[in-house]
Amino acid sequence: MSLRASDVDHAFEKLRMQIRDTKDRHAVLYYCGKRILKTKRSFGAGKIDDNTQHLIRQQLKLSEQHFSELIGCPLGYDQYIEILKAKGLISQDTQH
Amino acid sequence: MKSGVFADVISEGALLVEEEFDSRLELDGATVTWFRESRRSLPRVPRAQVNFQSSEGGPAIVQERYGPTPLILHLRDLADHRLRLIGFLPVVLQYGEESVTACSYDLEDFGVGATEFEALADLRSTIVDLYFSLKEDQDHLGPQPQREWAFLRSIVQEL
Repeated sequence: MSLRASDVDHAFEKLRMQIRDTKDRHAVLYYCGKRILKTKRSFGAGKIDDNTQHLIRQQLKLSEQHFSELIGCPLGYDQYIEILKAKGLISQDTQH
Repeated sequence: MKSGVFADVISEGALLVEEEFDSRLELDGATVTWFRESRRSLPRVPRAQVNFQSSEGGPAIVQERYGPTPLILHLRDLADHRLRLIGFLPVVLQYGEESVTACSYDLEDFGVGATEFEALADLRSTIVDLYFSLKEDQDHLGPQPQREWAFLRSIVQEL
């Protein structure tokens, strides 16, 4: 899957991640006031190579299929939260 | 059966299926070596290396399905006047087509650059940034950042 910086930014936005720009663009997911996970991308509008793409996907705790769906748009915020709950990264009984 | 797979190996440019091989096999003069231990965690590890002798007795051919073998090293310094590493931090350098990534699997974080030095510098600054952002959020951490914070506190000292 070929991925561009703008695709990653769009995914961060969909997942309602908080963005902070330093030397890199850092994205942190908070849920119910708790910090859940983080990822980042380097600046530059070009293509994101396979290694970096793989590491971003791992930081987001997504399978290859779910990551493709995130980039391709079917996977949204609510489904993502359910995935994280299933993986134990968010307590099952945590409600917004 | 294995000869058939081997034929596929040659024709497909060493695209192998792990389950079909033991960790090391001799097949019609070919040696197939799996790098099994790193298959899951490292995206560009050569998962298989195939060496075979041509039927005419020519030189051996070596094919690797994935890029160069990653390097593992240990960071001893974060290059920041506020923090000191009091332990060694294992880092894996992986080579992509146009960039190098430096990854800490303990912290689940990484740096990217055009060279090894740039990737390591990016990782160092990412770790420094992670330390202070986790410190700021330390009373509101989910399970994953809690583990990262505990690990960071075990290897980093504020100056």
